[in-house]
Amino acid sequence: MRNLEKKILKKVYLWEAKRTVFDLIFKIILVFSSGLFLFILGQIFVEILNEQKTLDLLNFFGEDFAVFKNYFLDNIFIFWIEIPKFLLLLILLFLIIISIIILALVKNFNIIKNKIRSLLKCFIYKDKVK
Amino acid sequence: MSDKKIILKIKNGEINYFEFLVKKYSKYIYNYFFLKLKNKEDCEDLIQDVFLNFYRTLNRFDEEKPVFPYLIEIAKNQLKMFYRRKKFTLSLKDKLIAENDYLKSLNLFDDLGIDLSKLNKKEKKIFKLLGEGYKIKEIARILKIKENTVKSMIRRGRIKIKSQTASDAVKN
Repeated sequence: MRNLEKKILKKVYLWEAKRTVFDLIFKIILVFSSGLFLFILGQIFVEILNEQKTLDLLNFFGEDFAVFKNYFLDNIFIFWIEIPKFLLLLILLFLIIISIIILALVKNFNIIKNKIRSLLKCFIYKDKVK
Repeated sequence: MSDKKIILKIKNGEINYFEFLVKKYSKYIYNYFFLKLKNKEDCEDLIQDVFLNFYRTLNRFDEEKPVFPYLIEIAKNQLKMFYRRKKFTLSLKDKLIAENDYLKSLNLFDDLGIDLSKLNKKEKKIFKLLGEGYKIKEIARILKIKENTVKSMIRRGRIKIKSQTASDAVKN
């Protein structure tokens, strides 16, 4: 019976180890690839804005408050018209993906930590138990 | 430690607590399988699958509910699947025996003690095809004759067989 219990536990731990490792690798790859895409899209976005000199519109934040108050809505409207919207949408999408994954990782951090600790304990001290 | 606490611990990632559940219930599940299968190897395979399935569904498992009935339900399903698998996989020896049985079934009339010697060649062929499980429509298509012809030949053949068996009975 003791051997059978060991066999059962080995099967369960192996399955859990596989799942945890694949899950972690998948999430890390997803975060890094999304981050890379986000970086590239951000670079393109800023470059387009630079080429269009749209970023010059932001200089008006340094103006007097009266001027800022009068032209705020106009400037925002022009800024909105000039930015590449599809690119902005993509950037937002990747930002949402990354934030969801990171939030999930942070939320389950304790569980993942405990799992890894238990698995390590099981596989490292396995020989000692035998 | 109660089952509820153990399950909460496992849900929290401390999976080494699963050992307590295995130690507590494995012998009951093993006995359940052994009563049904009487084979140690099969029982060990099935019990491993039971606990693995239980572990997989543990996140959805309500810790307020008792563990043992749930394990038994999984065990029952595993047993059903085991029987189903066994039904479809025959060893080569079993396969040969099964094929032999099938071939024997083709000589159905000999086994039933029905003498087909009085029938003509075509009638014999029709009765053999009937014995193999063909329908009248299929026999007509195979022999390239009309369905009604097959029906009338069967009727005639039956009459011949009946008269033959009646005369045999009188002789005995």
